[in-house]
Amino acid sequence: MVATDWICDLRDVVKSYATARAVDGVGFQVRRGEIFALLGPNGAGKSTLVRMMMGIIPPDAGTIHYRINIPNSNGDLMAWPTPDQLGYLPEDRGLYRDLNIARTLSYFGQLRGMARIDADRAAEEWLEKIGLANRRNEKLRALSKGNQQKVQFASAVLHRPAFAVLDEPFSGLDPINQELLIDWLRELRDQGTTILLSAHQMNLVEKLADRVFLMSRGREVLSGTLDQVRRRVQGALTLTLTHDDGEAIDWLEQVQGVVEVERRGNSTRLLLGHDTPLSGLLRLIGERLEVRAIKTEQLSLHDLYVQALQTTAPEEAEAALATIAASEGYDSDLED
Amino acid sequence: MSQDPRFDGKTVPTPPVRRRRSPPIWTVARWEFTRFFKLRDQLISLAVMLLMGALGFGFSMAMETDDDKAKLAVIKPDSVPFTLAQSQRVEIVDEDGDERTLLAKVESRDLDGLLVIRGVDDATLFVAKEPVWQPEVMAALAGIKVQTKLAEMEVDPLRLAAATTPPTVVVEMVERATLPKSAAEKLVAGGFLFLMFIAVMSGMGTFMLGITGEKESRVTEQVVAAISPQAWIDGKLLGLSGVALAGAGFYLLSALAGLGMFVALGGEVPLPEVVVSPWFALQVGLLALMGVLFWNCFAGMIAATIDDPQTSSRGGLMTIPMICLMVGFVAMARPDHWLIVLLSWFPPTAPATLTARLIVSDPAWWEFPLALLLLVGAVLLIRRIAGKIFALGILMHGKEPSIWEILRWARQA
Repeated sequence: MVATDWICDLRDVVKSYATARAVDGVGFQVRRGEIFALLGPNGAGKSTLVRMMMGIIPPDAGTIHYRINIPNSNGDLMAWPTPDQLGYLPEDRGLYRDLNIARTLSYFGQLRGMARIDADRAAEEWLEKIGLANRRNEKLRALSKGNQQKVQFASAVLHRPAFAVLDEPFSGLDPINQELLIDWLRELRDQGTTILLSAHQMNLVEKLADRVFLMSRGREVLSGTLDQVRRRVQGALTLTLTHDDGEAIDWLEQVQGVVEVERRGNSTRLLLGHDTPLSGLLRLIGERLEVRAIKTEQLSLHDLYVQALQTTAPEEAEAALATIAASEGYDSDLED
Repeated sequence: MSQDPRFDGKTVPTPPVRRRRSPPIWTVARWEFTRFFKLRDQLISLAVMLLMGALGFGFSMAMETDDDKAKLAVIKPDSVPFTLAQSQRVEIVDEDGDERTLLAKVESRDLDGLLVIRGVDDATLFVAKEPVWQPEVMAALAGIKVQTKLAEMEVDPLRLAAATTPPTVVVEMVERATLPKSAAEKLVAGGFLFLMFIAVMSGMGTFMLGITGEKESRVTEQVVAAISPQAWIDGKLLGLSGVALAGAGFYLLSALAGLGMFVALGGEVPLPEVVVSPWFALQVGLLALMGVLFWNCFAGMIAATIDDPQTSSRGGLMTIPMICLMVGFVAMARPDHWLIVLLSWFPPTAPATLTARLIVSDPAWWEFPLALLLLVGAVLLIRRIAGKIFALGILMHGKEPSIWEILRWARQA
């Protein structure tokens, strides 16, 4: 893939509402054929950004360019995409609840430029795929919330767009269906659809995304591949030690390469920097502590986000983390 | 990152097969039409109307049978000639017996009445209860008295009739418009206005229902991301206007079927000449179409700004088209008043008012093209304004735009 082969390019995009600046000078490129994740807590500005990318609301400043088709002889082709080239799953979503599921799916395919016969066929294929083929003639309202969500997802991508933008696609799905959705997204990507997904379930995105763009309060916090992001934050690895309750561990904060020490009863979690010599550290710990168990882990995307936020915008970190916790709690309720 | 083998970094995959696509306006129009127009329901309604018509006809025929005529016995001197004009409600029967015997039959309901005539100024009618046919008997008695008195005064009834008959005056009007309108013409005009009223109001109702429902079910953003709001409202306009006109067409069809059944069974329908002309049908059809389009644009504009139909007071604006359509009924009484003439050119009132004038009056030849031209222009203008307001209002949730915001959006159009 050519390094500059982007499908969508945003530069210095700004959007303000009456009382707040929702997006504040954001820019990134989505590369052709990748899954690009836009991450952040509720209120980070993701949905506003996505709406601007879909042409639903205009930006106050900055540019959004697309290069869906092959560039012409002049090398520049930045026309706004045609409906069939884009797929969109809005955060604020719903379908015709009193109408036949198969017909509704076909309608959205036709709105996206498919011929009726193709849309009918694609609707049938997707109903098979999402396990609702035997309920094709039922009304949407007869389905569970999770199944409605799957139909909604199908309506956004059944025309096989070149670029699909999915805002919070995991919301409302139980863990099994979240895994299924991950499979479908990979399948779509492998069939050539570039995907931008906006989400706050970082554990799911971590399994899927080729690159991530972390946002908070309308601004970029961190972006790149997961490896790049890991390299950019202070810590990269955690070391969890299980020891006796009475052990003194204050000295660990002074050890070179230890970024952070967090004690919970007889367990201590160390956040280690990138260049920390692990063998030397383990030897030191072995000499001074009676350790019962040791566990090392790479930082999760959630941890990376927290680290990045605490480093780049500590004043915002607390509020952002509270929002994440609140929204994750909400989703858990839904899944129950 | 995995990548599709067809991907060379420059091309994008194309969906498997692409056939001829409908423009989005037609896709939306077809969707909206099939969403709201239920042929089966219309056919059931048509069948019910025909059944009701047949039952009504049968009922009225049954009411007219001789079996139901009241039986009246008459006791009179031979010198008094008493007869009843042919009546649907009462007949004179020959019954033997004296007054007491016949009165007993009235009491036992074997007879409906007994009329005892003692002289032209003295008669008694015995009945069980006040009869509906009493006026006919009274009229016959009055006739006998007049004839008897004229004979006593030796006045020739024919000469008297000649003297009292009003003169024959032929009224020749130079303008057809001033001709008095028959009840049939007014009935037909009222019928057409009723159909137009049904079409406009049902079209607007469906439009409101569709748009507020889509806003409530949050379907709007996905549609607006796929097609332009103008294409969406245009498609809705075509589809839902089609629903309204098809619904009114079914009403017309029902009425025609009822009339056809009535004529087939021997009835007569005096339709005004103007109504059966193809030119008239074309004129009224175009006016109805434009009226429905105009008011549906209005409905779309209002509906897009309503956040919650349960609590919004904006639905009250729907009285505006009702008032404009009611002008048509006023026009039936005063079709050539200068104000009515002006209103028959004014786009919001033209469809109903000009339709009424076309039936009960005779507008100048240029009035229809002028009104139609103004109406088409108004529809194009309001379509554009509605599109702008729709585009901004349809995505608003949680609050309704103020009237000033709506006016600002309209100016931007």
